Amino acid sequence: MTRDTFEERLFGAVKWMSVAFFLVITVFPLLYMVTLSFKPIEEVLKDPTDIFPSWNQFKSFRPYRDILRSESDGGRGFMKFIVNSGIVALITVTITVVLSTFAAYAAARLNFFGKRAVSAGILLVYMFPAVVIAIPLFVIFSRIGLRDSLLGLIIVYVAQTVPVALYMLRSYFQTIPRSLEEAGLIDGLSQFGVIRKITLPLSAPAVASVALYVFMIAWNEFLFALLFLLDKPDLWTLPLAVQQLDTTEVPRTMLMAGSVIITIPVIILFFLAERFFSEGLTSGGVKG
Amino acid sequence: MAEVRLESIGKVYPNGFRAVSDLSLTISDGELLVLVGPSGCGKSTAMRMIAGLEEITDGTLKIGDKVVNNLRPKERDVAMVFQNYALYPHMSVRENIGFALKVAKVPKTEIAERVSRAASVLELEKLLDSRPANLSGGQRQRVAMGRAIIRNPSIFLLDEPLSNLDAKLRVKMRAEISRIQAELGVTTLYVTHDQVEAMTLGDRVAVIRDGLLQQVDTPQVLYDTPANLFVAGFIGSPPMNLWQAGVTIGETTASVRIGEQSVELEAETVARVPDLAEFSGREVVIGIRPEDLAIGGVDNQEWPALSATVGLVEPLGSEILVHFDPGAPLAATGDPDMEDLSAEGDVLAELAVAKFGPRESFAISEKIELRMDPARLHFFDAEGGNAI
Ligand SMILES: Nc1ncnc2c1ncn2[C@@H]1O[C@H](COP(=O)(O)OP(=O)(O)O)[C@@H](O)[C@H]1O
Ligand SMILES: [Mg+2]
Repeated sequence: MTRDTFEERLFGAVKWMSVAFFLVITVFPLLYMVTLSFKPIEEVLKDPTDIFPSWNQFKSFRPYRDILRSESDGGRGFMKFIVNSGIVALITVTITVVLSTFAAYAAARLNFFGKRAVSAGILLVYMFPAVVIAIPLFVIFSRIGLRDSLLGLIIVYVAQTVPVALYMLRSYFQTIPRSLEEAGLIDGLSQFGVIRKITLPLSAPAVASVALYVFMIAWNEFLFALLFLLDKPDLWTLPLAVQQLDTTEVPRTMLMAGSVIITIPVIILFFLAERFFSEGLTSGGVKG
Repeated sequence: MAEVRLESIGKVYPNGFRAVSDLSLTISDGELLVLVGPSGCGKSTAMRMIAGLEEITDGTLKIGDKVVNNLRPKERDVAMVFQNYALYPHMSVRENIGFALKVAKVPKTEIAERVSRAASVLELEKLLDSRPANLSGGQRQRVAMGRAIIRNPSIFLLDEPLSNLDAKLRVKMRAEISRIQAELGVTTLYVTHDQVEAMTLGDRVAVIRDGLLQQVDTPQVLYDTPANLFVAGFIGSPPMNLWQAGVTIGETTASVRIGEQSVELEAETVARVPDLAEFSGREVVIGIRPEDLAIGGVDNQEWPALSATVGLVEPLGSEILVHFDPGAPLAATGDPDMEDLSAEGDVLAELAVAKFGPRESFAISEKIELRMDPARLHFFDAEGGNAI
């Protein structure tokens, strides 16, 4: 075996081993979660070799039906929490993406006084850990009556995600050649038209990943949801609701079903958006 | 169609850098004016001010009779070809070319018609559905042209549109641009750093240096009577030979000293350049183009003679370039490209050059006697560089 083929095989093996490693650490927990949402953990513990639920267990869909049914029907009211989480996440994504797109464009392109300070400040904001500001925010929001509301939560999530969204988008806008926008101006667009017809279509991959990032934060966030909404079960978001299932009175299958319900949308969104990320949109426009 | 008039236009960038100073220039209706100068001299800045992409610091810009200083690009009705083409990567060639019309809300059928007409002029029919990323440099350049010509603008602005193409394609596209411009009769400003391109394309050529206009005229006038040292050295390839020379003008005789040699001037030369008398006893720069030098012979016995050593011979087939040293260094003209060459120790940049017919033969280090066509001698003030 020559050195080249040896290295080739070695790297080949390492590559497949790392793929396998990541598959194991990501897919296994997922698989377990799904399994345990159908099959009671006691059964699994009794016979660990048989982790798959029986067809009947699977078909009944019991834990899911129990968890989704409203409380008046003896369920756990998860339909409501899904709606709450959906509202919070979608509104947060919309506000953050719109706000940070315009702010990032301004920071990347337009000249204004104190531009550098603003750019530095963006990241500085993000460096404060959420816990540090959680208590002061709790107090302030209690005072102004925003505590027991989804609106309060949305405000916090927007404030939390805008800095990073802004930073990501600004970096992306800076990679779009200015002459493309100037060509748009010459072709008769207004400044706003240039952003809409040229900059944004070219930034679709960046905007999509920012939207996904913001969605994941708003969809999964737990700390502020707990602080703000604990007294208002009607307003609970999914992470909070799932956490409330973690007691001995609730069957484990239900807890796992709740976890699956949280996870699925993120995975679906990821696969939908993946197509966007892999498309290189800006290539070929300019030369030299 | 319109006349473009720049009146004392100036540009100071926000960082305080003055890129263009007191630029006055008129591009007549339907004319192709070339703005030429070394890179960094402010050509793009000047063009971008006309396009409305860059704010005008001082002066007045008129298109037709209208002052347009504060109009936005879309209100000026200009079309521009960018040096890097700036094609929209997310649109097909068809959409790229038709984009301005779409923005102007021209009906779809008319857009389609005009796109296909522009595509046939530029031989782009087969590429209409491709994306810019899949095109070659030359094809991208033609799409950029197509985007400009489809609009029937009042003014065409072309910023070094050929500088990214290889030499052969450049020559072809140069002819093409010339043809299209003549056909459409659109007032055109063409920016380039390549003086050959400037000379071949321009109805008139404006030479600019460090943001200052040096001379505007037809290519032939620029070539024959450069207004100053910079233009003399910049226009023409190979460039004009320029040497520092001391002038002595007496009652009956006149001579210049080039290095160690004293070169006699004829009375006619002195009569042709009367102001030379004022420079008697002082330094001037004397210039002669490579083709205005001849081998000493019967028919040019009267011409001023210059002896020199051959440094390098370049036979080009149709002619021979002889690089020679008359024992004096070449005068600096302020062309940064030439100065770069000298700084790099390029021997050719240190030598003067003469152009002869292909049947002459020369040996390196040979001593030769050159004659200078007295009607073609140029004199420049050594201080300031203006033509005498
Ligand atoms: N936005 C800017 N800010 C400051 N200086 C600039 C800017 N754009 C260009 N310059 C400077 O102005 C000079 C002229 O630039 P430009 O017009 O692009 O030159 P050219 O097109 O002749 O090569 C250059 O020295 C360049 O560095
Ligand atoms: Mg330029």
